[in-house]
Amino acid sequence: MEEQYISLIQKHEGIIHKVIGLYVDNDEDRKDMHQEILLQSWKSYANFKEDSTFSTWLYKVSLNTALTFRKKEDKRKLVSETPITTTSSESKEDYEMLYFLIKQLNEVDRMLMTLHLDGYKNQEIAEITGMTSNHINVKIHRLKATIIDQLKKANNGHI
Amino acid sequence: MDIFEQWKIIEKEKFNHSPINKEDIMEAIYQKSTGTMEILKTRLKYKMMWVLFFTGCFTGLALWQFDNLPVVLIFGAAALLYGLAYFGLRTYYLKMGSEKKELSTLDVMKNNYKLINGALKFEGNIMYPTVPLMLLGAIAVPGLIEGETLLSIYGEPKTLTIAIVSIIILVPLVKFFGDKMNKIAYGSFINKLEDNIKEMEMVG
Repeated sequence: MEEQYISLIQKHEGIIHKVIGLYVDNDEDRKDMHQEILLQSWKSYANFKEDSTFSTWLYKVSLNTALTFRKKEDKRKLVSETPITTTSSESKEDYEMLYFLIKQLNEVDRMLMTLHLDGYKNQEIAEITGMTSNHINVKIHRLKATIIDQLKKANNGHI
Repeated sequence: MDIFEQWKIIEKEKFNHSPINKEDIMEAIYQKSTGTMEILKTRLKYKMMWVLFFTGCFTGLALWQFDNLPVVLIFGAAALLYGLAYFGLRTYYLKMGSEKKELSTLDVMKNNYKLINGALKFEGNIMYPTVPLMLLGAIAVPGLIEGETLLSIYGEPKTLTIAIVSIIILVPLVKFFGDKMNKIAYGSFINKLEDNIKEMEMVG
């Protein structure tokens, strides 16, 4: 079982790095969260059922761990959760701007947007987050509209 | 601008790409165990402090009745036993966390598991057999202070009966509550350490 687990983790390690990158900003927390996700995924692996894909399962475990980790940690150390603003970011590259906007989203919205951008279908996102597909559909639609609007503003109306 | 394309650039530029290997997983399990081992070590230190406190109390009582040889012997023996218990526990305590650097993390965890169980077993082995002696001493002390001898005190059937009944009732009770307290203070952490060792063995 362990060989299979290690091989699957190595194949999908990008998910872990992505969740860490999106939810914590300092090196010490990154290291802690990395260890926590590895530990939790290893502990939960026995319960992994192959009726969902490993990547979906790993996303779920990683995001749950990240959200729990955030609750445990001193929130001031972590990513701020202010509303989306673009005042000082107009000179940024497009991808930098998008990254900046995603990181400004609250925990749940950031999770939804990341999964959407990663190409997950709403049904899969529903499986990961426990929300309904309809709710996800509405949320993602709104989030995308807001982000595109902000990107347009940053690019002086062009996108 | 295609945000999906931009997201691909973010993935390349912003996220770590270092590979995860077996050692990372073992390290993660070990780091969690380090916390557990530290807690166990700290709790063992508290136990040592209590044992030291009682050693001091018995020594003080022996000194207080310094001109009464039987009382000095009883409290002196108690102080000696508790002193031995303290140094025994201290040996286990000092060994915890000071393993040779070349040991693998799994061996360090196993070693700490063995040491904490050893310390608790040692405590039981040295403390529980002393309980009957302590009871006999405690019952005799008031009479000894008044100048009676051990033989005259336990020559009285009533005192002897009280002593025997006390031993029959209190020794199992002390053992029961002692084990219960150890289970509360150490049990869950020892179990956690044991689970982590099993997990490490599976990964390894």
